Amino acid sequence: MYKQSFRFSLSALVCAGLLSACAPFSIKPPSGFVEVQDYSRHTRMKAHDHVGLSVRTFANMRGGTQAFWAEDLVKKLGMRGYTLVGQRAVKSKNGKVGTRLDFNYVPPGTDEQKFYIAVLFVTDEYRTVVQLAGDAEHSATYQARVDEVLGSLKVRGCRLGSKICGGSQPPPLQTSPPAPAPAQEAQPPSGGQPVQPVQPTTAPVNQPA
Amino acid sequence: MASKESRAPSPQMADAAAGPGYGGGGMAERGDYMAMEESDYDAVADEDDMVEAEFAEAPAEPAPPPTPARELERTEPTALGNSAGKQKEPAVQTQPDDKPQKFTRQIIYTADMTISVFNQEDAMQKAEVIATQAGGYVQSMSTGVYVLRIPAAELRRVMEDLGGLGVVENRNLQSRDVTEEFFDLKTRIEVLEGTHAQLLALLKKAKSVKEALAVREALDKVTLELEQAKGRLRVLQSLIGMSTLTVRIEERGPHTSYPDSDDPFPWVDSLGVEATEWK
Repeated sequence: MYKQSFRFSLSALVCAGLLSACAPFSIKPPSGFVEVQDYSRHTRMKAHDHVGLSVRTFANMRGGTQAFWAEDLVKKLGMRGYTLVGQRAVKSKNGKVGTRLDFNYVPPGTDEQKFYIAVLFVTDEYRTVVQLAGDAEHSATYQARVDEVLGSLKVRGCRLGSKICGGSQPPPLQTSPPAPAPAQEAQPPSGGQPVQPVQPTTAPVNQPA
Repeated sequence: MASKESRAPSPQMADAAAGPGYGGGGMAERGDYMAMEESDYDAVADEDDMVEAEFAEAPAEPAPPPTPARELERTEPTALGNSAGKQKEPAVQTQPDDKPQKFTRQIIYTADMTISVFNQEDAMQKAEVIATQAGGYVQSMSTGVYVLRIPAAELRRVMEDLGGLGVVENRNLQSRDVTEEFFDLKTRIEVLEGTHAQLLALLKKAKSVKEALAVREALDKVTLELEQAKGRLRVLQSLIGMSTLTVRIEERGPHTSYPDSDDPFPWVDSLGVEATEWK
């Protein structure tokens, strides 16, 4: 009886461990954040000041590199009215190198200044995006906490001898002026005034662990 | 004398007039004709004439918002023409009998549109205000869907105003020309009224109960048919005067904030401030 229970528990542990290892990422809620949604490929957390933290993964595609997807991300966010104000290389807890992109944003039809930080990690299997967003008044606080957040993030999906995971960073990117606003919106998105520009970008990090 | 339409607060009543309970010119409403004296018949006849008089006077009533009767005065299809709002004397009803009648187009407009907005609740409130200010009203409402009745002359402007609430995803306008049916009904009503008057005259001249009963039977059939035709005409006038506009208001998230159907990698659609921030 006890033997069977022990075997079952062991099996459950092994399965749980395997599942955990297969998940595209893992992250512990940083201090001040609570997890409100947790799916295998999408996690959302919030802080008291309504700043949101989200981690989302997408399957990578053949040929998709860090530089390619970073450029794609910046270009498309730029079309939506986001203004890139900072770019630099960062590392996750398990040493994967990503690209941190800081944006300013004013949602269409409002005059609310927002900050938006997207950190992109591209591995052979996945594209993982860590997002932080909230009112611009909190931007300085959370821009300073990005490294802390990434310090609790593990990104998976690298293969042995992968060229994707050790790929080069994108060149300095910039958002083009926003495309014409969606038809007849109350107010077109403005590029927004720079809120708290992060330090000059494109600074390389140390070699990945 | 106030017209029937002017007494009615909204065209809904005109719609209701065509319901199964309408057309009450027959026996059930008028009571037992067998027991009626000739003077009663006259009274019934006078009442019928009164209804007719009210009906004929209706187009001249200037009460805004446009009632179905007023829409008879339009000379052009209203939803698309700039002259739609111009009111003229009813061409058909004011023509002397010896002149050829002027047939104006009678068109029912039905429209629907889908708008995507960032704040659905706010947009729905604004949509209701736009409809009301144009002289229309909300016929029905469910989550994200309004069925509005809008004066035909205001339909185009209202659709433009509603489009300003967000991004118009699609917009349809259909028209149905009911000119033939409209004038058929009017002709039929005229003929039936003539027959009705003749039967009333015959009824007065009846010399026996048997004759009176025979005329009365014919009179009841004609009355019923006449009232049905009038009811149908009122429905048509309501539909012509008040266009039906179905508005679907969808909420836009970051994934729809920038339409780009050609994007082979739409992953960025699910990213952004709206997808991340908590309120």
